[in-house]
Amino acid sequence: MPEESRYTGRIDREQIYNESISMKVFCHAHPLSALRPSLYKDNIIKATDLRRLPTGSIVRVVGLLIIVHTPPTKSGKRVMFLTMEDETGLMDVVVFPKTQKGFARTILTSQVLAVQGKLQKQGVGGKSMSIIMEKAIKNWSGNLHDFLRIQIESNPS
Amino acid sequence: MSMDTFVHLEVLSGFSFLWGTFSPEDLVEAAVSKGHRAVALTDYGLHGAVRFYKAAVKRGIQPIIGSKLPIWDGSHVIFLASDFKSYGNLCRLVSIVSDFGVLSRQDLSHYSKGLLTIAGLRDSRINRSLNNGRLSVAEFCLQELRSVLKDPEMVFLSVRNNGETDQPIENVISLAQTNNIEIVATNEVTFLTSQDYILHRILVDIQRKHHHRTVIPLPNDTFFFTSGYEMRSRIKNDRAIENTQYVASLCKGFSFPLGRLHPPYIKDPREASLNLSKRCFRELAMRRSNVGIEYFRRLDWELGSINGMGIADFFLLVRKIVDFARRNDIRHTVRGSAAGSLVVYLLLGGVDPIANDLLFERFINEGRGDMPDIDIDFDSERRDEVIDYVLGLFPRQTAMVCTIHKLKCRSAVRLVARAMGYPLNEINRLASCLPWSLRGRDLKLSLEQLPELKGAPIQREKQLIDLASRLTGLPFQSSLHLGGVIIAPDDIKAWTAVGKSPKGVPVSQLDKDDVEALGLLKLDILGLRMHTAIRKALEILEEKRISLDFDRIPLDDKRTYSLLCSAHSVGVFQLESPGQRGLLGCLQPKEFKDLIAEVSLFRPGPVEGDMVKVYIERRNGEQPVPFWHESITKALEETYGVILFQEQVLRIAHFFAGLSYAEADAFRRAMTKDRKSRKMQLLKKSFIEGALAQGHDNDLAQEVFNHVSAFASYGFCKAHAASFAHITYQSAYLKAHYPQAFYLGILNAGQVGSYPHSVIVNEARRRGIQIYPPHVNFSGLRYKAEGSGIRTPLEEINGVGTAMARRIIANRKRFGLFKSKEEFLSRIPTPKRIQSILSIAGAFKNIEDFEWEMLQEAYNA
Repeated sequence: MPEESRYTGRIDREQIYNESISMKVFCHAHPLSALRPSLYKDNIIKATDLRRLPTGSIVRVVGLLIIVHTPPTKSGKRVMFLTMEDETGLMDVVVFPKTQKGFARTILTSQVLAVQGKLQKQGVGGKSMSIIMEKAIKNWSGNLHDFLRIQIESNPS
Repeated sequence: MSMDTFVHLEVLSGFSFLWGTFSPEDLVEAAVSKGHRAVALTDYGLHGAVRFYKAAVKRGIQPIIGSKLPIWDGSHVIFLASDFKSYGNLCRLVSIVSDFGVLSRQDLSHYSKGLLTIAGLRDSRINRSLNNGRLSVAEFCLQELRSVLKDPEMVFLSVRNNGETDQPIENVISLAQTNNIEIVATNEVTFLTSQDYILHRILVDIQRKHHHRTVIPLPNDTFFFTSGYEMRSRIKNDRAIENTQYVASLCKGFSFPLGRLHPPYIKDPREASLNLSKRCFRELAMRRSNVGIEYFRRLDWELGSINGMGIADFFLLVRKIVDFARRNDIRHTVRGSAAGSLVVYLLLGGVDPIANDLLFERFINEGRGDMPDIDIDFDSERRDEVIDYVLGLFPRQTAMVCTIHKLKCRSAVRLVARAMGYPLNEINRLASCLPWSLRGRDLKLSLEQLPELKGAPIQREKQLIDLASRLTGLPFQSSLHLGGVIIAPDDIKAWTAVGKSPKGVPVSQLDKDDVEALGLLKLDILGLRMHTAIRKALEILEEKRISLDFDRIPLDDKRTYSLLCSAHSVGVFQLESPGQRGLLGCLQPKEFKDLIAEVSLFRPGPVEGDMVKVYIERRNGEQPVPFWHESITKALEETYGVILFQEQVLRIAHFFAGLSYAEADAFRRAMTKDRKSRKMQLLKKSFIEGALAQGHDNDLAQEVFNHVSAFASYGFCKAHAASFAHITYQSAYLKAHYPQAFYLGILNAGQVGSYPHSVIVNEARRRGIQIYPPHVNFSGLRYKAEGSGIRTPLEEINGVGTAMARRIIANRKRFGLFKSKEEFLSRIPTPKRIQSILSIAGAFKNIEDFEWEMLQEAYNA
């Protein structure tokens, strides 16, 4: 299944920004594709890049925060399962209580979340992947509109 | 503790919605702690009646069921049921109030037989007249009330002492003596202790500020659950106190018929049995050209069990409902243990229980005393049609089950803050830091433990936290249970009060637990959005003239399994959660039975019991499958020695320990529900003894028992899993072969699964499907196919609601496409804010550049 954005040409940042403020969905392209050049500079990789990396790698990814799931556990300890999405696909992130101490508020108040963590692969060909979160990259975590606006202002087309 | 002869006869719990501050269970505990022998519950309805009754009986207290209802002159009057028949009258009166707001004189003359009446309450005309010294008016009101009641001798006059606002007791006594009626002491119990008065005031303020009702709270904190001693000190009249006991004794004849089944009345059970058998054999002959002997044997035996229980009519009723759905092309599937029955398969469709090795005994066995559940999922958007049909089949006997919404932490904080007068922006600020995941958890504990709440602004609001946490869990409102329909044996209003939903649907005041306790027949007519999504996807294919016998697609399609193995399962029924996607990557399903396992594995039990890893390793040959005994190996063969299905527990108990299936099912249920119970101990004994009798040695019997009991509660019903796996496969098939139709189906069926539309749209784009933005000339009310792409609807623009989108589309249909933005604005007056957002979203893009004639022609076509 093709994973990469079909918009291989120039990303219209302004159009993405407009969609972000006026619509519930993105028709033109995924909003993170507008931030990607700057994200690469911070060594933040894409969801599809995870396939090429071995289990145990320390990775930095960013995504729109789609779901924060905190299923009840017998021990009563809370484990957060995050589903994030960048322009190439979904990523699953696990946040254990120790990490939550420092970053729970960032997680729960961000539209865009950037995390650093350890890649964990399982199954045939490592098709089952998740990231065990170690920390949030606060520079890239927050409000989507703000990030897009900064990009437009700092790189006018 | 010595027993108190005083009985509270005017009690309003949390089920008086935003008035009383305690649950019926708390009320019973308060009565026990104060040594009362009986207590009444007299809410403004009967929502709490069954649970109050159960709690009281369990604690050895006499429950008195009543209700406080408004009559024609604006007064409130308490009616108490003296027996189950008069309870029916009470239900009818509550139903009338629910529909019309007050009771008329005629209502009382029709439905007051057997009811005890307490008049002269705080909020009554009698009381107001006595306060104003107008004894003649009070007398007139009392006489008028008595004149319309069927049992005027069963009227009592309330006497209270809640401070200065109440009438002098002597006036009440005098009125009672003049009219030759008895007085009873009451205290309008609204909170359990005087400290809870503030909760009552907050609840009333919520009514005022949230619901904009004109309600006055109680004037002081004396309306609590007083002891008999305190009541005697407040009301210095022994007769008024003793009469409470007398009233309780008159209500002793009341009891709910719990623990018995009350199915609808069947005219001729023999005819129903014959009819059912005929239909099943006919279906069997029609479905299969070569019917194996095992089908005949199984059918004969299942029919024997069903007819033996006298419930053939119930199966025919469900078939009647499914026939209606079939006639009207409403997609449906059977879920739950019923899917394991050949009779259900033949009557209602689903997966073949013999081909999939499903067990009938998990559904019905002679040990189960309750009505079997046949749960059916219907297309969500069309479920109401089915419900209307069922309600129409038995108009006097049916009503929907109700659901009680309780105050949860986050909503409690918001409502209490509003009641306390916090400004709206401050409420948003305080509540915004409370994560949604907090729901249901204790507020104070969360504020202590959750790291994101450390130093949050709400931490400083001690009183708000205290009040909100004390109110969390109280009933907030009742509403319609989306799929539960009760079918009573006779008039439904003999069993429950019935109101009307805003859509006019009859709604009972029983929730699903109450219905089960009363042994009434409940049909779960459930809605499944995936059925809606599949239907909409198939409609797209039909428009494209792609014919597909969808319900008979082969279950071995390589492309479908290849899609699932890639773990790109967003939108696929049951397999789209992060955990399921991860599991797909590991499990790599190759056939239908793998999907059944996949659906069953990712459940709290197997995950916490670490069975998933064991299962995968054994399946991949990385771990040997242990050998216990031949019968166990056989039962667990398909799951590599892991107990995954409840049916396997039954089989082990049956074949290894020689228990009957009824005993085996009781054994499974005991392990799921109450593992410490005495019943469980007895079952263990019979399991071990049975195993020894089968010739197994004691060590093996103990080992197998320990193994089975450790995992039994984790097991998932295989019949249910198989039924769901079939829908999983169908949705994956659509995604693999017809992605555009699949995504359109998902996008147009409301919220299907866990992901928002944005995720589905992004995934569709990644799969090469062009996503077109909303446009005033091309968008519809829903996502639609445009060539091989998808056109976004206008409603996905922030601020453009359904009404606005409808106006645009209706205007376009009537007067043609819009040729410019100016023309659009002249034809459709649009607020500036919406104009601006439509422009930003690109809804007018290139509007002036089109070849209009060609486009209009294409549009009309």
